[in-house]
Amino acid sequence: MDIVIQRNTLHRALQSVQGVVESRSSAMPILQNVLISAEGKNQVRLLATNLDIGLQGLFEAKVKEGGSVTLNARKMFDVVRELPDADVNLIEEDGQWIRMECGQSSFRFPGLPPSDFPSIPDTGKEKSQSVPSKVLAEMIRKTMFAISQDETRYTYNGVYMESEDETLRLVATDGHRLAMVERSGLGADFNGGVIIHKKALGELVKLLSESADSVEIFMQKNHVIFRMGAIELSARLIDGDFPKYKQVIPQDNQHHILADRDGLMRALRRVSLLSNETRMVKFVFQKGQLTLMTNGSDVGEAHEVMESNYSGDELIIGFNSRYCLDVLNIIEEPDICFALKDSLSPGVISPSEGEGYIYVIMPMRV
Amino acid sequence: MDWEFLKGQDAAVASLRRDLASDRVANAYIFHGPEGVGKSTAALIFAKALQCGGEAPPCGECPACLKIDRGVHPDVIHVSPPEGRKSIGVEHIREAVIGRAVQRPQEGNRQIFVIDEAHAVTIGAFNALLKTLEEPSYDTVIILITQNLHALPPTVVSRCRRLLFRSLNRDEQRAVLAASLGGAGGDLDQLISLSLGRLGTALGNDPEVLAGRREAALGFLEGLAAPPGKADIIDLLSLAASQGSGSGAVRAEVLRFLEMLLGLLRDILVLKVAAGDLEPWNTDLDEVLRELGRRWGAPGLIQAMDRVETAVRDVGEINTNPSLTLESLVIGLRGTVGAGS
Ligand SMILES: [Zn+2]
Repeated sequence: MDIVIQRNTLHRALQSVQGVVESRSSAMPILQNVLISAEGKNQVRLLATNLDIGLQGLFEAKVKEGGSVTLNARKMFDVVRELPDADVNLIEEDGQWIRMECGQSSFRFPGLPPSDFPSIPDTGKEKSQSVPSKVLAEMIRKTMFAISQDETRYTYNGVYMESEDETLRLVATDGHRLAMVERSGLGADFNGGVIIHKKALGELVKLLSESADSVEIFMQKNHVIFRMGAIELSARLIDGDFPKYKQVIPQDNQHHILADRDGLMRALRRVSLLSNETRMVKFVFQKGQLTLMTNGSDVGEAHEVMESNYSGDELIIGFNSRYCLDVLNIIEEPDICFALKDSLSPGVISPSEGEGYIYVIMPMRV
Repeated sequence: MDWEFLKGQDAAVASLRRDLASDRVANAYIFHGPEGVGKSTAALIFAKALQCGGEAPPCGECPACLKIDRGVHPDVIHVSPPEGRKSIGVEHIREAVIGRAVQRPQEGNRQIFVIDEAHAVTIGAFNALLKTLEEPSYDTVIILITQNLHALPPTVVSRCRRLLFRSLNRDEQRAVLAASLGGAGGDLDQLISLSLGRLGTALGNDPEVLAGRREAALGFLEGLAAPPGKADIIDLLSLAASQGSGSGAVRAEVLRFLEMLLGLLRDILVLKVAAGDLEPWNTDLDEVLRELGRRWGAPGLIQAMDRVETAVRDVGEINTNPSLTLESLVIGLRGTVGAGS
């Protein structure tokens, strides 16, 4: 291989793969490398993977001689960062060494055989679904925070993505709360669902924020692939059954209570400061008013009263304040709606207007 | 490398080939039997047969087969105790096996986990693994390799298909080495001696390194038998230190050295009390070992082997300082010289 690539292009290319390069030494040292292959006369492909996530991109370059090499991605990035903006020449030498020249500087890197590099799924000419990048980013943002932090509950460590009747749906849960967002009319229809690990979602959100228009989604047996322009991210799927989330969403919560999102959030933040280690805040609904209360902790007690359109008998229900604040932070609409049944049944929080976002939260014993 | 390579393991091979042919591959296997008789090789060939994209799996030529041969197939995952350690803990199992088994394969048909020295997996780690063994996904195969089936919890054993790999005699070993090394093995009898009859050791090491280690171990025993002096301790410690810079590497080299010592002591004992019934590994050292044997009584030799085995455990399993263990071993072994003769 012998290619010439602009320093800024190479820098951008290497930066894009840093997030998925294996940083620790593992059983497979090649995972610390980036695979660089010449594609035709005017492009190079950069590819990296940590076996959870794969990332590849096509970049402009002048190909003098085809071929491919692998070398340490971090080291190369460190060097390229310090280079002036000029042409960089990458030349494959004997014995898998790679020489890099820029102006008067010359560097040599040891390589590993490209044939040892894990293969990354190819999108080929498969059918894909196209979704606006901003929409998918928003859907991920509205669900991802509810993923379980417990690393041993594998099926809870990701967001479930499915499509059904032309509706794209993302669901996340940790067993205590569940966030579900839906968008229809996007034309996304791939029949069925997959669990995407949170590590992949983190990288995906970064890429989506830089992607101007739409993202193409390819569903494969073992991977889901997101293509944004010249960059492709592939995420290895989790093999397991996502919890039956539809059974968790209450259908018959008869009390619908409106609240000002910002006001409720501020009050909840204040009152929850004096909650005990369970973070529980009691919501006391009475005719015309809602009282938030904490007591029973060593640090003190607090309550705050606000007006409410509630009109039923007194209803006291305890919620983990952090779980409530998480969703109040995410919702953008000014008003939210509580749908409640009684003090023992799960509650639902959603924006008061518009459809497509539901947050279910399990009550705590008061 | 394919099934033909597994000399003397016809029963185990036939069973694996039957599973493949009838597409009834189990989700978990235990390959058990003495060290160096082909268990790891069988796991490798089996993995190739499962991942192969060629016409007659394992073809040995397709990208999958080649990657497995070079140890870089992302869906064939090897797990063994970290260098210089004797156990595989729960974090290790969680990261290398359980966390991966819940994923779909990266590029192969399935994910194959080969857990070497499965007797070294801690009880906690086995408990964590049970769920993966109980509710396996279709595309996961776990192969536990061990010399000691009884060291595995019954709950694990009962969930695995078990295959016994039998011991090979010297002729069978020679045949295996000849087949795999071709002319490159040099004096095969010498190699079998140097590797104490362990094919894995014979195939994975430079004979000169083995010979150097045996030389050192022999010198050590001669030093012990000679009048007291300090030279042997220093020689031994410097030998250990010269083998690597990281503490893990020193630990591993000390372990290999102790195992060589154990092999020589075993041969001395065989020559002394069981010549004719059992064959020593180091056939080429017959005279030297008989001569050394005169310095120990049989009970003293057994005591000495106990001491070395304890040292192996201390260095491998407990987090002791290898040089301290070696120093106390030297003092302990001196006490065995002459005992009971
Ligand atoms: Zn093959």
